[in-house]
Amino acid sequence: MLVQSTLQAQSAKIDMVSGATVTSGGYLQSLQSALDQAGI
Amino acid sequence: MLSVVGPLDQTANHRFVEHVMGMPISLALRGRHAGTARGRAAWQAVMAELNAVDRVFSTYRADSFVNRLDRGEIRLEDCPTEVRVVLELGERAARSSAGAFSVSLPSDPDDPGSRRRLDPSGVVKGWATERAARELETLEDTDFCLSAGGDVTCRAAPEREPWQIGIENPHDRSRIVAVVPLRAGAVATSGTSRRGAHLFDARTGRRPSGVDQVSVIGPSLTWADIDATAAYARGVDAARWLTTRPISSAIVVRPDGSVLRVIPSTTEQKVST
Repeated sequence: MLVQSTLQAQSAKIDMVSGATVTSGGYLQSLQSALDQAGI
Repeated sequence: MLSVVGPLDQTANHRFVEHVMGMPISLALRGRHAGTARGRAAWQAVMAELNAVDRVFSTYRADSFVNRLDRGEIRLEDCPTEVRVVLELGERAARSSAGAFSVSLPSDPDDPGSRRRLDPSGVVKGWATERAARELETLEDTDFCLSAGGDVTCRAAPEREPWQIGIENPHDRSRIVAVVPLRAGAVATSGTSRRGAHLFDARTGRRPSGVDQVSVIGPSLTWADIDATAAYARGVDAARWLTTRPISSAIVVRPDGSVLRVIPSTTEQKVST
């Protein structure tokens, strides 16, 4: 399985984010919420 | 929300998001049932299961079975059978990590010697999400990618692209340190978080130090979550310990920002600094 290092989510096609800090409190500023709101 | 695809576009993601257990649950569906009533019903079934689990296991609800068990008000026999299942998983996790992982944790996070309380959060999140995802497996010709607060389980059919899972940079949450393509299986990440109440090295009762984040890729979200939590608890020993585990691979982020890619049965490889 290939694992590529990238610097910014915007430069790669990401479907979902795995992180340790994904709480409801921090959600609105998160990468994941950007993905969910874009609906793509 | 801009939607430019019609019902026959098998590659477009259809997204759902809702909050439970203090975290966002995000789902992407792709394929035949992505936009149908059955797809939506499966999502609602996932959320119903996660809400039911929260009522049983939450350490934040005074009347949860877990808290009542911890206070000695009820016995294990009085609890739903899932409580025994989770506690037995916790026992196996404790043995496999030589005690770094435990469901018996200091009740005062700043006092390693404080009374131990029952806290199975390190098991429940991955276990509950893997179980709830079974609702999505019943959708024919439909791919799913389900994230519960950053713990991800997914399935993609051979004729479609694998899901691309970004691993969050713990030092800058607007960036990622790696992309993991995943066709079937799970990614779980443990590390510094605002609600990391269950993150201890249970051998000392202290907050772990040595690594800032561990992500485990494997076939089961239950065990990816347990192993990510246990590895984080083992601190500087995380990467070495992960090479002994039945996982696909792991990604460890160290305090200096360096990123290790860990593959069992080989020595760890440094991929970037």
